[in-house]
Amino acid sequence: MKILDDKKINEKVFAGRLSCQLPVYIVPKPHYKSMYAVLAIKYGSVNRNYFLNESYHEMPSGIAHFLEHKMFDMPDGTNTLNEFSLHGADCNAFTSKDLTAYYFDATENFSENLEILIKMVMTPFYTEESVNKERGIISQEIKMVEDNPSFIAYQNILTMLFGDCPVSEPIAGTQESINLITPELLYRCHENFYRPRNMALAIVGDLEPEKTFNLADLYLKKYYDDSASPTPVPDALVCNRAARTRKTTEYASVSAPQLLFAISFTPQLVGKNYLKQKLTAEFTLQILFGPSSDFYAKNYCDNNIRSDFGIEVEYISNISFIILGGETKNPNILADFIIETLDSAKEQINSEKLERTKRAFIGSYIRSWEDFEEIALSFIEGEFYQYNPLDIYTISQSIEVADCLNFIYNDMSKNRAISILLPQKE
Amino acid sequence: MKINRISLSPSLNLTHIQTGKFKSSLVSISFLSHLSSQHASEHALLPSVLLRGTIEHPNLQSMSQKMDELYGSIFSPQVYKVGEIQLCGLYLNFPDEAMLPAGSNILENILQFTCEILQRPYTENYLLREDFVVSESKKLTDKIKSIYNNKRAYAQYRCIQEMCEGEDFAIPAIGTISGAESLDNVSLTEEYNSLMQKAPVEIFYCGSKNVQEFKNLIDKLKIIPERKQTFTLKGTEIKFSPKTHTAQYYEEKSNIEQTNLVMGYRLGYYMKSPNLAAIQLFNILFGGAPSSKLFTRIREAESLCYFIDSSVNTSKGIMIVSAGIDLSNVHKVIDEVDKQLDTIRKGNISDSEFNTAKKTLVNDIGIINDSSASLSHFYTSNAVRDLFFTTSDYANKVYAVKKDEIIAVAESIRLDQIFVLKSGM
Repeated sequence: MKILDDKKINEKVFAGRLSCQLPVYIVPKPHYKSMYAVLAIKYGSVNRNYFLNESYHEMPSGIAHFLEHKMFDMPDGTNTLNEFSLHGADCNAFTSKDLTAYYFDATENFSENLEILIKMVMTPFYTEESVNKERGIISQEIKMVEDNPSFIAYQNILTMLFGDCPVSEPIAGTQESINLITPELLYRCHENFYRPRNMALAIVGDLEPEKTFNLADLYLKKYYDDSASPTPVPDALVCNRAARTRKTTEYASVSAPQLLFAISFTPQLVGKNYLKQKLTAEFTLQILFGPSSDFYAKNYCDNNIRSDFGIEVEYISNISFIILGGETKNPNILADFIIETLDSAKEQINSEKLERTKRAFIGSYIRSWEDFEEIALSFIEGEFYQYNPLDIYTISQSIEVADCLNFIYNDMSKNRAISILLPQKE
Repeated sequence: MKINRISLSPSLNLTHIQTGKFKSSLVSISFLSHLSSQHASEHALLPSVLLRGTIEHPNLQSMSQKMDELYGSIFSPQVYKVGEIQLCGLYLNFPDEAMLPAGSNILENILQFTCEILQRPYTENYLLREDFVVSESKKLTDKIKSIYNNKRAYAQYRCIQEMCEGEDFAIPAIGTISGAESLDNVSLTEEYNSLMQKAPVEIFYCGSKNVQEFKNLIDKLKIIPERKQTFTLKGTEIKFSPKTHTAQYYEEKSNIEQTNLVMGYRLGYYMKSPNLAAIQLFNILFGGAPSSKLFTRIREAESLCYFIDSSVNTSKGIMIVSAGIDLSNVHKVIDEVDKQLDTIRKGNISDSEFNTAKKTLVNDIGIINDSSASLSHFYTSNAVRDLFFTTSDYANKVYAVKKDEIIAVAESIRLDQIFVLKSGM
């Protein structure tokens, strides 16, 4: 293992690769009782279609999420959630657009819980009966999610920005698509994607790094991933949309109108360039729309925005976009203000504001190093997007006004989406 | 961790934890008052209004810019209750000095800004600004209304309202809608002056500075003005038995699918001389953990509910059992809960159950040390009740609890109120 360290914040990270080829990151946290481990697969809802051995394979939408649900069943009929409980651990999982993650946190029995986690994720077991039962449960989940106004607005944004493309599909799929999922397809996806070279393990807690590394190596020994064996290549996301502003307005079960405003941009795909662009985008948006901005001051006092007004920069595989919004008295006026602010970015962004934003970032960066889940997931993302999270501090402080303006005027596209939700009439 | 509790002046107390464990430091400042329907809303609103602007930073934008300059520090309003004592004040989180370049002087700068917020609010004609008060009271009203959206929390709140009718405990920590709507900047300014001049204050610090350095800064900056006389807190009234011999029953309809059953109990005469560790351990055994009687017997074995748990409030001397069930099972579940309480009264606690419960509770107590926010809540809630012990002291107290103490707790408990929130609107 090699040691990555950040003397500024007094953290050491042990990074290595197990003999089965799985990348591992261990962050020792002396004197803490909690221990956290996450095993993630670089396989999310957008990766459903892929090339393998020169043929193209199309899988039903929602398969990565379905697979995640089924991982908790073991061949001996037990459910691993009980196993974790018995060993004093809290376990959960999630599927996102670009990855699936299984994690636990515990204050005891770390090695036993790690073994359960690894065995669970590496052991596929699907039957007709269990798949049919899960279909019923997921069908309920889809219904619940489809009722959620936030989901409706976000879906509208994706469809407007990216059209008919896997990124626009709901993670859980649709009622129709989940009917096409069979045990055979699940086995195939597990075999193709749940393999050490396509995964990463991150562990945080009061643990001895060498010992923990060797333990993980032992539990994963039999899953050696030969680089010579054929590897599936997920289809790149192709979203051919004529660049223009699109808008939808609909009624939903909300107590006040809501606005979401998004713009796609050309992503830096991996590495330090990715990190720099992401931080530049975040700082630029904070300067233009954050709580210290003129935009925020004007609109907060006019009650055009509330304290739930959010700003996100999202990267999914080879596409990316910024998204802002929240509750508002008048969504159309707010959308106009956003456009006006973007159009006057050159006047809004100066070095005084940028320096203040970079300084404010230091506090949130330091806070992030106290949240075990955040630490672990940042190393997972770093592995999948090929960067070292410990570079974040230096890169953040190196950003200049020219970088912010470059993001606005060169990276950001003319492809814009506006989603408005209005309260249902009584 | 070096933990100290000292009195900076009469009614101004400090709990100070010196540790290098965390990267961010935490300061919490709480003004204490008796929870009253007259002033609860004003006290709940005050911190948010103070954070809207000071004389030097008269609006949200300049306040936010100042916090950016202080390395992205967080200044939040903090309002909660411990029994019938209301705490209102500020919660501050900022990078620890050890993490920043030398000479940043962050703690002193943070405390200076805090002094500004507390003592030099942006006023008009010596009153807190009407536009700030109107804007923040609207937000507070929205927040109070939103409890209705979480059906489980709402059902628990209603059960306590019914059970503790006429008692101050029934007043929510963040006040009521009528309270928020009837206050104005004049009454709020009065309460501001009253709290600043007469309320006891609890300060909590967790970070790398030692206690003398911290004390010197508080003294030098005069964060809390010198007070001549502070009011004495009444303390929480504990009722040792329910009003009536049989439990009261109340049903309410709501727009929901799943029925929420809440059972409210008085911990009873055991509260005359309570061992707090024994009460908490009883709770873990009864319904406060996945290994508990309620969880294993009623949920797992009988499948009678989607969720079920119990929680105790040792300040007020009550216990709440909360369950999500099918409407047809209301009386069955009530009987089962009663049956499980009875098994503990009869001493049916296996050694394995007892040891697992102790291990679970000691683990939960240990985790408090993993977060400065948890430490702040633990020590401040105890301080407000004139209690002081470390988390390790408390863990030892838990280990020392005997089975017959658990039985004594169970024997003292009496069902007071049943509340059912069911579909039908």
